[in-house]
Amino acid sequence: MRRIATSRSRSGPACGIDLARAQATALLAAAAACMASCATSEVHVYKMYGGPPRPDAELAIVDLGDAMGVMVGTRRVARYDYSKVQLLPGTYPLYWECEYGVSVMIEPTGFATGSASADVELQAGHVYSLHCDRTTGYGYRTYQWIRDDTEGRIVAGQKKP
Amino acid sequence: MLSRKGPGRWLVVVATALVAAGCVIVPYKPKAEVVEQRDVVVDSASFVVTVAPRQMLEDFTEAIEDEDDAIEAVPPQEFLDAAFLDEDTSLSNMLEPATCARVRERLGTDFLVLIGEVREYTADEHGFMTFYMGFVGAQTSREHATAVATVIDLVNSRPLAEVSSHAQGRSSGVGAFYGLFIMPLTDSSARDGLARAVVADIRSQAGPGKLRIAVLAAEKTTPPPPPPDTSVGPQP
Repeated sequence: MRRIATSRSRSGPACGIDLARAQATALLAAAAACMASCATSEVHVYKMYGGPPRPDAELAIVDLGDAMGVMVGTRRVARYDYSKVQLLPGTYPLYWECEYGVSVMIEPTGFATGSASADVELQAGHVYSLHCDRTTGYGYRTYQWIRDDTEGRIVAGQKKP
Repeated sequence: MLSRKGPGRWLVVVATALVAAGCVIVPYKPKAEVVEQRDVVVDSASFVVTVAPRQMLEDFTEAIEDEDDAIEAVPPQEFLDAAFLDEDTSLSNMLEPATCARVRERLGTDFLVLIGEVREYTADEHGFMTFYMGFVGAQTSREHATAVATVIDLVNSRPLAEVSSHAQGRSSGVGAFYGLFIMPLTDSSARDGLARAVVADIRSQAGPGKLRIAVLAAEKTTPPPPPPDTSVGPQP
């Protein structure tokens, strides 16, 4: 800042070069900071079980993936708060919501939602991910499904064909 | 005529940014109305203590710490782990003297601030505005935000006070391709009002000096909503 102020008090070509450099540096720094903030965005994990933390091998992990939010039983989790949920193994009622951008010619709001629910048996050491997809145009269909990433199979919902 | 150097150059940058953004937003903070209630009776069996609304808890914690820098909030997950040894995270379990004693001993926290759901809604809407091809029209509405909190005295294992903070302000916008919007920061005002009242309640009980608290959320145990059938979009 100080250097710029000093430069501005002068006249001649050097002033313009300094300003241009300073601006370019500031722009680069801003771009780098923006990219860095995206690259280092923190992964927040919701520990949805009581007592002290346990190793991953004893837990089932639900990755919110494409979903906007998930309800595990009566407990609601939003994706802007957490990207993963840690649970003890067992069968849980899951309800997850998806949001889609849609042409305003089809949906005046520009958005559409889809949801699915299922009782899912979550196994220890397994990672499950929630998925959302859709077809486009009038009469579009939405598809919501949950995949066991550890075994590579769909455990609930319907995958887009 | 703008020169290539000096303030004119920055004016060009700002003007370009405004053109690119397509609108100017002028925010303002309305005053929050705070209502406090002592002798609180809570339906402790119907609520669970949770860290689910992470972002909201961070915002409230920051507001409380900004209000009184002698107050330090412990990490919410640490508090939850210390308080609840099993799956029962109900408020009634939290209010058990043994639970309160355990968190005080392990973390040195004397107060628990439980934040409820922050409700925001819009009312009194007039006018219209489209934004598909720039902003066209004029619109005004009244924005409301309400935040509630219950302060638990962990020393005496009882609710100390219930605080409700409400902020409202008029939102207006006018557009002729470019838009000018005046927006009330109602949620931020409600939060700050709540933080002020919570700190006042804590200080009235604890007196001055350094203090450790925990800020968590209270969530009603409600059954999940039935899934709506939204799998097929409108037909032509």
